[in-house]
Amino acid sequence: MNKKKITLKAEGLVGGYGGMNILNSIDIEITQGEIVSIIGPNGAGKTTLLKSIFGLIELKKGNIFLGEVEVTNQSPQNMVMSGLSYVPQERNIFPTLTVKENLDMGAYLRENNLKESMESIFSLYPVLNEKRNQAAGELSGGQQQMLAISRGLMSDPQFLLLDEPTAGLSPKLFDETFDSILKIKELGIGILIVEQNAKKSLKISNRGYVLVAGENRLTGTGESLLINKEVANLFLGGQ
Amino acid sequence: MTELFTYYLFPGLILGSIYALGAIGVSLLFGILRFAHFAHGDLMTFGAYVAFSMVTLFNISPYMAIPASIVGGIGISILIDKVCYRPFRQSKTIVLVISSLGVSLMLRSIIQIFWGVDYEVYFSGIQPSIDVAEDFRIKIHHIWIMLGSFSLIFLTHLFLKNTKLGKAMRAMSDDSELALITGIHTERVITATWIIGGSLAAVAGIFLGIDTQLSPSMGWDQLLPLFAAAILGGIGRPYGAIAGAMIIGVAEELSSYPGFLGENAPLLSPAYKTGVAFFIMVVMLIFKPTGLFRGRQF
Ligand SMILES: Nc1ncnc2c1ncn2[C@@H]1O[C@H](COP(=O)(O)OP(=O)(O)OP(=O)(O)O)[C@@H](O)[C@H]1O
Ligand SMILES: [Mg+2]
Repeated sequence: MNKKKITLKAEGLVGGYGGMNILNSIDIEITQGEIVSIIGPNGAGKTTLLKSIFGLIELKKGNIFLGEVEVTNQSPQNMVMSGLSYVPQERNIFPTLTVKENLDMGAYLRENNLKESMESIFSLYPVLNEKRNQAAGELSGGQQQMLAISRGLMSDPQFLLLDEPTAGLSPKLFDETFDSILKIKELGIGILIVEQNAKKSLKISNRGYVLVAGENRLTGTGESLLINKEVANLFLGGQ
Repeated sequence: MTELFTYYLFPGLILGSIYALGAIGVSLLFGILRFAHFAHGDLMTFGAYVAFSMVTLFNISPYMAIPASIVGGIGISILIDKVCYRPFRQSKTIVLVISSLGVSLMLRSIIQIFWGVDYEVYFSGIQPSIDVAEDFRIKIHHIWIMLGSFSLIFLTHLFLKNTKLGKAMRAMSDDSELALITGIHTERVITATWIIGGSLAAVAGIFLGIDTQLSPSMGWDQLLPLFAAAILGGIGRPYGAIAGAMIIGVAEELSSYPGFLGENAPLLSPAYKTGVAFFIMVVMLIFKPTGLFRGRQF
């Protein structure tokens, strides 16, 4: 079963909120099985970029292709059906629903193989299995983040868009989260990740994009960005 | 003691279960659409009058008219949503609230034009009752109302708990943006909410008509206790609304129980009954605005 890997490709994205443009011209691409990091200062437009790709914000210019198919300005629902999944930074679980119900909702648009997906998620995060019947709002911060990612996986996506999945996590949980992201990559899923910890995230990334003021500032392989002077000055504390 | 049961506690529970049918809808609609639906009482009235027409036209009991009334309640709810609320989905909450006030006025006027302004009853004469114990009599109708309300509440519970659409409804009530991101058909969820809210309101109207009488303002008059129940339970929490409704219903009836003060004077004159719901609502809003079951804040 060696299916051809699909590439998600965004070109010349321009968009924002109301009349104001936040994204001025952004190109980005990711292939299944890759980890791609987006880094940049606060307010650079990283979250806006993810939302725009996912169809939550209307693009004024630019195109998004999934393989050969154009998916520019599709509804979030169509994006889910096309194989994208978006995990927002905050408010990314349904707090009064149980863990299991949250996962059910992640699979809302699917009919088959739910059991299988749920089993593989429980092996990724065994603690979610233990707490499957507990209200999601009662979980710890780290567990809620695991649940948020799992909810995103339940739609069986080809690409997972993660917005700062480690925000506010302890070093131990940080490492656990990154470990699980590497495992998700092994499943052949492309992971587009926005991270504050540029160093650690570039280390596990195939490629990285540095976004400043809604434009691509730098692009390159994870390693090349890690040793780049400008990146070091901007984000890595000048090592 | 039996007097307390026969004339105050039990009627309080009946009133509470009628309120519950309305308050579940108010609470669900608030959770999903984020606005206080002020026309909800008038949906009850509409349901009551649809049943009244069936009763007079076909000479059936109002219980037999429940299905027709539910169909009518669902129809009018979906129509109202399409015409009066849907255009304002992205607008500020206050726009929807005002729109629902307008709907409320229109519904009442339509009811007055169609069915007249007089009081009506489903049946005249003394309502039959049975002796449960010595000095403890229950009206047969109260038993039916209680059974009917509880079964509907239980069905709603099963729906919310076990069906995909029911879970999606609770999910959207938790966070509508995340529901959209997850791929949930949000418009379908909204329609389902109107179907449930509209049906329960129609039945609540019939039960209220059976317990008391019909008038074009019968539902509007229940708006205060409905919202008090929803707020008491935690707005957006249907299970809370049920508990809130029972508490409001019993509190309203008990407020005029004469036994509390030892003398033969009621605690409050029955004329102040609605004040009780208002009082509970204000106290909750001041001291615990999220309600007993931690709902959303207004
Ligand atoms: N809903 C909104 N309406 C209007 N402007 C917004 C909205 N959300 C974000 N912005 C603005 O858009 C710009 C980019 O925000 P965005 O959240 O995309 O940045 P970010 O790179 O994700 O930042 P951070 O690192 O803080 O998460 C900011 O100037 C922000 O103030
Ligand atoms: Mg952000």
